Amino acid sequence: MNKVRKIESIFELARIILALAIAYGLSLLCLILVTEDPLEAVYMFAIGPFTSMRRFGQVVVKFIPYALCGVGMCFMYASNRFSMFGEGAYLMSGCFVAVVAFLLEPFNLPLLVMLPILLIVGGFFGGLIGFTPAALGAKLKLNELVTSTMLNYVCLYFSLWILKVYLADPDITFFASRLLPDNVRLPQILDRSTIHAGLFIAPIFIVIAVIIFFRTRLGFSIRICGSNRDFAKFSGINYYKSIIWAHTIGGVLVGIGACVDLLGIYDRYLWNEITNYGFYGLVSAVLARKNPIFAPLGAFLLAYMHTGASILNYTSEVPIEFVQIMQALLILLISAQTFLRKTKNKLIFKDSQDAIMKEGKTA
Amino acid sequence: MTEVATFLFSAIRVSTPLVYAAIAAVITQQAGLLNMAVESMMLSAALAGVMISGATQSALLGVLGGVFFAVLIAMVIWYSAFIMKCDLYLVSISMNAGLVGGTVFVMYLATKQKANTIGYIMSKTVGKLDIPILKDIPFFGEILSGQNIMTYVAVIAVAVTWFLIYKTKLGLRIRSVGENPSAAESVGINPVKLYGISFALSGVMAGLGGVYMSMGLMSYFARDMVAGRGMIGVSAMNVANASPAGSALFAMLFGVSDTIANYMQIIGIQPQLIAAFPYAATIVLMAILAYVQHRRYQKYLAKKLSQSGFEI
Repeated sequence: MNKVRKIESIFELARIILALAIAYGLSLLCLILVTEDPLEAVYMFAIGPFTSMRRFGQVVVKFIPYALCGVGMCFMYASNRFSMFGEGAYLMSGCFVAVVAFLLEPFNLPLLVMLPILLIVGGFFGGLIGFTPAALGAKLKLNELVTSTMLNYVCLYFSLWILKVYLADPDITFFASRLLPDNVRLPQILDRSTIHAGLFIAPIFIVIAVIIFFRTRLGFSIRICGSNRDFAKFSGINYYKSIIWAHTIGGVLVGIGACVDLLGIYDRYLWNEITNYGFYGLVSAVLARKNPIFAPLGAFLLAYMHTGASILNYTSEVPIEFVQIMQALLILLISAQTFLRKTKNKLIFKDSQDAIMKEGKTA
Repeated sequence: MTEVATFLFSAIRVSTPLVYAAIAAVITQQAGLLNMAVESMMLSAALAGVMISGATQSALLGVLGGVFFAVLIAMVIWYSAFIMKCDLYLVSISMNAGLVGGTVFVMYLATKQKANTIGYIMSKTVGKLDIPILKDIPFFGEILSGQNIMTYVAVIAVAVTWFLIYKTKLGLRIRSVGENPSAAESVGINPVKLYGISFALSGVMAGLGGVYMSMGLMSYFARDMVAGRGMIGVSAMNVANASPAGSALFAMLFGVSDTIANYMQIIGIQPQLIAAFPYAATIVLMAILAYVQHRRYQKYLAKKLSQSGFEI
């Protein structure tokens, strides 16, 4: 039995790697086909993120929110009820973090006091956006996916309204808030790169989330509900309560990600479209196969690819949108249960037969 | 009076793609599947329609090409969800997100533009239609006549969908699969095949809606031009419990609220708040209707139970 499990986990890994290779290879092929200087483009896309400290800093800076969103989306994905609260939660918490930062500006509190307050604000609004569709789904049987997508648009326009009415800086030509006060901005930890102290804040929450996921009753019931709904119900687990908790925790983590991201690299609040961070989180979660321990790894891969693409964007004319197709392809390949299944079944079959043969000989 | 007529005219104009999206969602919902990917089907159809009609200089070929690509996307989703056994929602979400970029990529390859195709692809548009007798009737003529041909096609599509679902053998099978796939399978109906058929039909409807976006409502393709309309269609379907005519009516309602929003913007209310209104209204409406249904069901249960002598 143990050997079967070993084969299965090896195949799980092989599938992810193969899917990554296919998606990455196809996007490199895309690059070669559309550019006049394919070698340069491939170099910039593949190696570019590691060529300078500044560029690697971009990878890390992208990685921080992706990892938090990815861990958050793991909760949603593990509960097996889909809800796209990510984008709305990201925008809402970013917006309210900015509002609270400006509200508390006159008190001039030190960063160490401000930061927990803002993290709580960000987490609260993220959690609220995660909670709403899940609660509506539990109480009124509304589909979370539909409600949350609608809610995302509401959040987008609501945050734009707050930005315009309460935060907008009339002195600048673009649509953004005033400069965020100095006492909320996270310090940079490395010269000549944008890497900020969020790199130390994010792991704290990721570790807490992993402990909740694997080591508490709540995390266990979320996982049970996700893998077998009827079993969960019959063994006395409150199904809807677990789902609501899973989505709320997911929202809180996305909100914290937004807060850290905003305070780390932006000097003004200026998000004026759907940020897609929820989707990137979902991609990371899919790459990690619902396991929050590996979600940061998936997030790092994603951050690396996005940085490569954005370097390409300002060094050449290549449209970076092909990365989005690549992400869709990745999700398709990794989540496809039949991908490589035949080979796996053959191996398991052969292994079991060997075991039976051996037993026959000893008996 | 003319203002009211103009208002209603533009409301119908704006709600046509929503009606198509709602119908597309209805067909798969009748088979028991929530089609979240209406959005991406519409988007690909919108681009394909513009590009093909630009290349062939024929509006009809553009429409057909757009529909073809929407069906293609539908089939990709069906194949990966039911043959390759991915999660249907996951595939739909990734398709929606991937095709926003995918269409921009294709558009860039064709025109070297990333925002829209204005001035780069000379595509034809679907024309308007004046209905002979109707157009002479004072008030209704102004509203109902002179709409885009695709709008009239949408009305026909609603009727055809109703007929297909409730009056044909295929429709009965689709509904039976939606009701209980295992029971349908036990009498020799192949659910996976029927899912494929309903997804393809849904693709046709979504394709028509997408083509209308880029060849009727506008005359060009723009980045992410569907902008949540597919999702509004899906919610309209949800609100109306997957009945074709009801879904179309609710889609129209959202179209009207969108038009009201546009008018209020002219008056001078903050455009951002107005833009949020149709979406917020959708959620509230869905919640209220679901609550009413829930209550009615509870009452019905209580009545049944008391009739059969049980106490609650």
